[in-house]
Amino acid sequence: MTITVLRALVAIVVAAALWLPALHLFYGRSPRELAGPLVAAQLADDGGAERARMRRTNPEWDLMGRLFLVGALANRALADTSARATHLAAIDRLLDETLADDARGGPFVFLLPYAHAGSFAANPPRSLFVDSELALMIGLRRLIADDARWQAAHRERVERVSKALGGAAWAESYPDECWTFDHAVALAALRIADRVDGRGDGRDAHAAVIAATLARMKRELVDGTTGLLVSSFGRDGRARDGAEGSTIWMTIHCLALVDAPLARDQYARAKAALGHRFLGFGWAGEWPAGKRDAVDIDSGPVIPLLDVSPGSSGLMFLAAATVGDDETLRALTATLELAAFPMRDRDGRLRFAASNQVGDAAIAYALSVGPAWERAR
Amino acid sequence: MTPRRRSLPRTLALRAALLVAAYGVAHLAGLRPLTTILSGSSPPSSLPPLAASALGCAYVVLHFAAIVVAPILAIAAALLAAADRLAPGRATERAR
Repeated sequence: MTITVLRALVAIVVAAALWLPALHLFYGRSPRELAGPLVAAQLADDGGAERARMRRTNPEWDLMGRLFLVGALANRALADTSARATHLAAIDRLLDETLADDARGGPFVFLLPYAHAGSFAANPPRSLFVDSELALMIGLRRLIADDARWQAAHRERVERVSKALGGAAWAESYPDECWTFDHAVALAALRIADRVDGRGDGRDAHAAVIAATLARMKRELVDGTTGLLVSSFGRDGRARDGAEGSTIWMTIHCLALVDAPLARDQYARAKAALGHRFLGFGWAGEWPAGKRDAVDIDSGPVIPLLDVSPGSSGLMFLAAATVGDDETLRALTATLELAAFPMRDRDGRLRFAASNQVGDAAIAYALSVGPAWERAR
Repeated sequence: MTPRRRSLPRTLALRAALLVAAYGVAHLAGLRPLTTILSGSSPPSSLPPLAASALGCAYVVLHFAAIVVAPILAIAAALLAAADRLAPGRATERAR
């Protein structure tokens, strides 16, 4: 009996040693191949049913999902002129819908209910989260092909963002709650606004506010232990949440447009602190080692022991693609194919069952990035 | 007359097949979309949220059992079967 058990154990160990290192080879799809099918699935949900379901969990995801989808479409429209008209039409529909939502309920439409718990410094209430994402969405649209229809709405948001960043205190996303993520999106939005409305002589309208905000971020928002930018802080710049995967990867993506050396430095630090690789698979955690925090609506679920954060892993695609880390991108894609449960329909459209609209849109955006940032630089 | 004991390779292969079959049943039952709980979203189902989440978790476990564990058991079964074929005398001795 003992010999039988021993034989079985030895055979299982040898089999595991053969199988596990080979497993990733079955998930070796090229990352960029996924972008088109993901975008197609997103466009098929034209009525926004997926987004509506997601809103019930987190209305922020609705706006972020729209931004990521617009980003994916904008990059694909720039990369492939034959698809430009279709993608522009889809972007315009999303912008119409989003501006209508913003006009209907102001920033609260896209904020979690606790936004009502305090008072915004600005009157009427303004959230940098909402204004920066809207400014970036419309800016990306104008970057592909300018259209007078969007100019007024774009300039209005850009001025709000510029004013918020130029104030003495940090800009709020929620009452007395500021986020590095939203400041980074704001910086990218201002750079794109300068590209579409600027003078092009290096003395663009928002160059000074961009430079001042970057200097202040480096001075006030860097965590002393990890060297990473913290996630959230008060209007006075006092850190609340330290570095988090749900913030840092998108921050890196946006910083790449305004301060490439800072983006590369943050990527190297974040990859070392949050990234994991094993047997050809890659994923990211939400918090650096020893700094684990409570799971919340921003972190999403975190799978213990392996330290897998689906949210952070999804956004790591964006940072890896932005800095051109193809090896990491392949490892992340292998994990996505293995553990996110791809669902392909007969028309080749793709979505991931373990994800949601914002997750799929973030990956579609990540796997399309390049042309928009190139044009905006 | 004593009943014949199932050989070790067959036992392992059978367990691998059972894991794959259970995963297949879960897949055909339409549990895959319920894994959206991993993203923190509510499952797209008319089931009560707790039941949908439990079924989503069960699907994840069965998926990894079928993709990671079952092939290991199958390979182990093949290795043992090959070893038994190469040294049949010892295998018979062990079966006693």
